[in-house]
Amino acid sequence: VSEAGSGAFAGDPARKAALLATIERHIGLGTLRPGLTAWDGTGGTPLGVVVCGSDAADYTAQTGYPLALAELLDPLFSMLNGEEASRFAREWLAVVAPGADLSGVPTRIVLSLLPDGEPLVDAIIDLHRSVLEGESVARGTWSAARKALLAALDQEPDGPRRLNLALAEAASWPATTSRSILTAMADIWCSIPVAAENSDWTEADEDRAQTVLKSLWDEQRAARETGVHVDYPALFAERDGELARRFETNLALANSRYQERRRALAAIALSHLAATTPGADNAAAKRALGIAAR
Amino acid sequence: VVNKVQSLDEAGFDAAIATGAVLLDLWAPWCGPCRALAPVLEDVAADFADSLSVRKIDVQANEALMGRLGVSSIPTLILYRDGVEAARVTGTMSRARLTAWIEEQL
Repeated sequence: VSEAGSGAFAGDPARKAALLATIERHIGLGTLRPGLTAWDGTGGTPLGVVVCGSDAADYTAQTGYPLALAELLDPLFSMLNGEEASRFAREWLAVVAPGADLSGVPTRIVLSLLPDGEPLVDAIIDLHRSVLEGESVARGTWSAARKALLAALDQEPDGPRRLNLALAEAASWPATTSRSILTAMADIWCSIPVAAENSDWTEADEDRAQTVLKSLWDEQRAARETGVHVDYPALFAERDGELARRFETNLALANSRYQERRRALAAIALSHLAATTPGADNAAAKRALGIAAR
Repeated sequence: VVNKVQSLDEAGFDAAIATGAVLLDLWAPWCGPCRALAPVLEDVAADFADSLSVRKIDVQANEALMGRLGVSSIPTLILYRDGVEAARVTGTMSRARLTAWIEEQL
């Protein structure tokens, strides 16, 4: 595998057109599929169909996209649904001009995902900003910031602050050379609003709901073992209708927040890709996913 | 761009772990957590290129090795020093945690 030179698509419009045509063909055939990176000979994930395999390094060689972006492509695609996912796969290549310098894109995405205002997180933000400004950050500096985060995480109970610290821990490497940084951050970043408070659903409510569900699970053991379908939501509603209703409302809210976050993450990635091209229409990400990029 | 984590099969296993520090990743293509760990291991292989080599074995294609190594679930990481097992860990972990674990062992 050789490294792609001259920026995106090795500066070659024909290469970009060929890669886009590959994606379009698989969209048309219905052979562009979500899931773990794969190529089965006839179809697969967006990365899989481009490289006819599953190696992110091959994708980097063909497209000039940094490894961190190559690793992020299939997880992002798999977070979206139907036509939205197809539009994303197309825009992922379409918004980048041949020859564009994508080397700073992973760092810019990292900076978009990190919340400021928490000193340990701010320390990581400062390191990434230094990298963007062309400064050299010593390995030991990254290591010290990372160790401080690990020590804080060891003391921090579950909750939004813990997720923010974990997000910064995942980001505590130079994005220019890290292959796993964006995929590790994506999982955590999408979970943060799910863990946010919902004033209509307290910890006590959650404890009560889990107690009821555990009881139902234990009570239905015999039925389960005989292969009978057990309708737990219906049983929950019979046992405590008001709690079950609010449980389902909270679950729907959490799922909605998670899905919205996935779409926002995809839009953030597209907007940073588009921004590498002078004069590009940065609203492409918005159009592709129908939402505002952060 | 070159992948730093090289694949092994059972036939090459003994020779691969015989000398120096070797981190072995036991994985399978159908294992989602194993696949999620793969880019982390590539990063770790680059970080420790001077002191450690990282190898992976597809246990689906090398089933007998799972029994020989006493591995019952994947992903499992085993650290060898000159052919002798020094430590092992099962399940996924962040790059920072994995780095700290390796630094403790080396």
